[in-house]
Amino acid sequence: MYKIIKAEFIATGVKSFKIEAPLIAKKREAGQFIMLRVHDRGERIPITIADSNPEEGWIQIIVQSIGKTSMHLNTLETGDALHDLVGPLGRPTHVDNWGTLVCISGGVGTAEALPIASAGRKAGNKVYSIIGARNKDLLIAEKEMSLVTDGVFVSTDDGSYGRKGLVTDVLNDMMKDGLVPNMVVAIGPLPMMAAVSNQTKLLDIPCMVSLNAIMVDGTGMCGACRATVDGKTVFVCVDGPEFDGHKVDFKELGTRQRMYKKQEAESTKCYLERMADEAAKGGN
Amino acid sequence: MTKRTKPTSHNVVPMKARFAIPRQDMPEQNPTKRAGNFLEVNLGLTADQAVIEAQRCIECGNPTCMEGCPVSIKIPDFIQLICNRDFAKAAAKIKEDNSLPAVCGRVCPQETQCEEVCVVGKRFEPVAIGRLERFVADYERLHPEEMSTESVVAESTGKNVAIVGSGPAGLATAADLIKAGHAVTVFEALHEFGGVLVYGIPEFRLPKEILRKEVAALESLGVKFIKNFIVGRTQTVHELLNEEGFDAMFLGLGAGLPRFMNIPGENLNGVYSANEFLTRSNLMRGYEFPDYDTPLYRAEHAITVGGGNTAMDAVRTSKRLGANHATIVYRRSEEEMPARNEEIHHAKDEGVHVMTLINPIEFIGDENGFVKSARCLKMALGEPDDSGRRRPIPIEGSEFEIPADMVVIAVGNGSNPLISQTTPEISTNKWGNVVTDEIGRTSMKGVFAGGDIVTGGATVILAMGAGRAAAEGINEYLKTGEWV
Amino acid sequence: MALSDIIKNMSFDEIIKLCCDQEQEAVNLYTELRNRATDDAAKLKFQELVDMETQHLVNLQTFEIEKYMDLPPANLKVTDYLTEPSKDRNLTTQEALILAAKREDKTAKLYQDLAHFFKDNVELNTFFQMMADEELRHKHDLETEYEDEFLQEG
Repeated sequence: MYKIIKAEFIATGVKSFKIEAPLIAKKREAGQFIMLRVHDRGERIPITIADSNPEEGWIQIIVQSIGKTSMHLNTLETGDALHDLVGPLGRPTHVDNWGTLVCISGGVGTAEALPIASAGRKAGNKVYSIIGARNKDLLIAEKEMSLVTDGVFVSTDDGSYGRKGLVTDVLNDMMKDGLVPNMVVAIGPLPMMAAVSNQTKLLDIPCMVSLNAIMVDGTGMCGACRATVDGKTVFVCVDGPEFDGHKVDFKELGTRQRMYKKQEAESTKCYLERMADEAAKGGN
Repeated sequence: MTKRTKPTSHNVVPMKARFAIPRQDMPEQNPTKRAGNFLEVNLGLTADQAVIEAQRCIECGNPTCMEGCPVSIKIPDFIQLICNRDFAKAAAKIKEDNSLPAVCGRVCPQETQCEEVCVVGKRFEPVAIGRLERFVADYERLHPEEMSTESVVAESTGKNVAIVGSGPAGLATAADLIKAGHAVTVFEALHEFGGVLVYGIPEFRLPKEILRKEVAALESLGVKFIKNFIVGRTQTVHELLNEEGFDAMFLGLGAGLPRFMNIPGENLNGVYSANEFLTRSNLMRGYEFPDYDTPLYRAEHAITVGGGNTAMDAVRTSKRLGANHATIVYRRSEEEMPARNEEIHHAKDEGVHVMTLINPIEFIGDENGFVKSARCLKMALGEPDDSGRRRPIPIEGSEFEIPADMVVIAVGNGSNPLISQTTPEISTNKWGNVVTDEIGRTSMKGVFAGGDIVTGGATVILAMGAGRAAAEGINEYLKTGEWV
Repeated sequence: MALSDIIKNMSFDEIIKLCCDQEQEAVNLYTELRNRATDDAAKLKFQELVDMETQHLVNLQTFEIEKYMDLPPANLKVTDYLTEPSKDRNLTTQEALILAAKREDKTAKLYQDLAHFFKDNVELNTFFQMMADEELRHKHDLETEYEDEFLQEG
């Protein structure tokens, strides 16, 4: 069960997995996520479903190596299997014909924004994509985005590709050139989503974000993923993951995301040391 | 309740002498030692102790103990079998009515059920029925070769039943239905089976090995267990009934919705719902981090808000995680705590501090967004109201702060709304609980429900009782096809 | 003009009407919240509140002093320290009870202020005391419901 049909790196430290999951593939809609465990002592983590194929019975996830679990996951190859996989979870993205949709994404968020851009186009919107990456090597899905949008604009922090700067700079440029979005969807690291939300609030443009939160069960049973939206506590796993960006308390969510920073660092350190030990032994 | 004839007496102790036998003490792990580990606290009666305890039973003509039991276990019968050292037969006797005696013997509040109405208990200490149940269940688990091998499963009926949730209600229903000859599949949302028994109750009260064996036993009878399957998401109730060939369904979803207090500061880092805290510890074994990947907060001043068994479990877990100050904060008096006296007693022995008539009104954080203290009010019990209950009332101006670098909110749970949200044909009441009739039928044809999803948070044994009642209803429905 | 100035010059029937308007406002508020709620349980709860306030309205219209002679039960203050949910959002049952109990409390305080203001007018003073007591009774019922459902083990 949960066999990996295809695993491949698509950027530095970023891996794509196609996983055999016929029931999830059949049900999945854009914006939904799965929870998985890599091994039998593993933690449960949420990952957005980037793509799925109901006929062939697979789902695709994109994973960036950040901490122990994602690093370990990214060592799995085609033919390996996950220990646990469950979904689809969360409310699907609500896509309308807004007119002009701009998808702003960063990191693995671009893979998550892809199905929304595609759905947006199907719904009759003119769709543009703004992709932000730290540098050229971390850029993903540019080609795929260009296939489902009317234009892709890239920015990198170091200028190694596209415009030097941030996605918010690109949006400003866009608007200066007369392209005004009727809806912005922002998916990526929390500071990026917060920045785009602030910017669009000032510009009076509606903005949807897809929140990442620490989760344990993913079904609304524990409240680990709670966030404050519009002054009210919501559970990202069952009320989201999508919310009105203008109403999200990003500061609180950022703080909650950092709750286990110490433990995560310890776990990563132990893992890397163990990997180093095993590599050394293997070398003998 | 299954049929019963009065058992043969195997009690050699003369009646009058039975009253002189003291209630056998339960051997326990030393409190200081056990406050640092997750091993089981109660070690179980020895065989000799069990026989002596069983001999305290006076074999009443009208066994009120059976009436006190929510599933009417034939208590006097299994006690006589213990007197005769027929431990395996005693286990089988209990299993005629309760399929999880190893669990119930540990977690049932016998002191408010069978033992409360024990006739011996009117003048002396009641017979330790719960401890005997546990002894016999543990004996069976350790001596499987002594159990009868004759098949308990009836001829196949060709009918298929889906059970949603592998907690006590689901497991009890599965046990009855598989024996009745139906094909049974249990669907579980999490990655381990047992529901609240595995995520809610700690290892030191209920070792998970017991659950694994119980699930394995059901599997050997033919029950199919599917994990990582969320009914309502992975497949819906409609799909299971109309496309996957299930003829009936039982919903044992449990009270899986955490309640928060709606006071300022509840979203600070370090403030947990009891569900999250206990799931990280019990299901994900966070206390073995970093061997197990799920992190768990280890605090110095850990407070748990609440007075039920869940609160006791949480505070005792926080103690074991190293808190030098593990405290219960409860707004009513100790007499009103819903937790079992044994659990409160064990907690105090382990060094837990219990503060009653105190209510938190705000959690205060430090500059990094982590909770550092709880602002509390003192409470006083008011006059009895119409229901006779004395309710706690805040004492104005009595605010004070207690240090807290972790808070667990354990004030109760509501019903998880996932299935009712995705299946509008299933009616729920204003509290979000599924509405059923006395045999567990919901408003949707072919769908039954029982346990906490119907009653709100209650006990394991009540959930099992509801599961058994629903199993009877399902049997009838599958036989006749009638749904009136 | 202060409310008390307005009331000074009203007839008893007009004062009753003023109180009825308060109850009607509550009926309208809970109806709106019921319509906005997406949580089925909350919808049922708001409908109950609509029915409760409608009954209060009827009680006022058939006002009889004898009915209000008993002292109200003690103020449990369960919701006094809880965060007030915004009326502009989609509320849960828990929030509905908090909102309603706080509303009853505010209304009780309003009536108590008026009772105090008219302390030299025996009839008005007694009337407003009774109205305040009645609101406190409502608050007590809502808070015991809250305690029993949302603080089961708390």
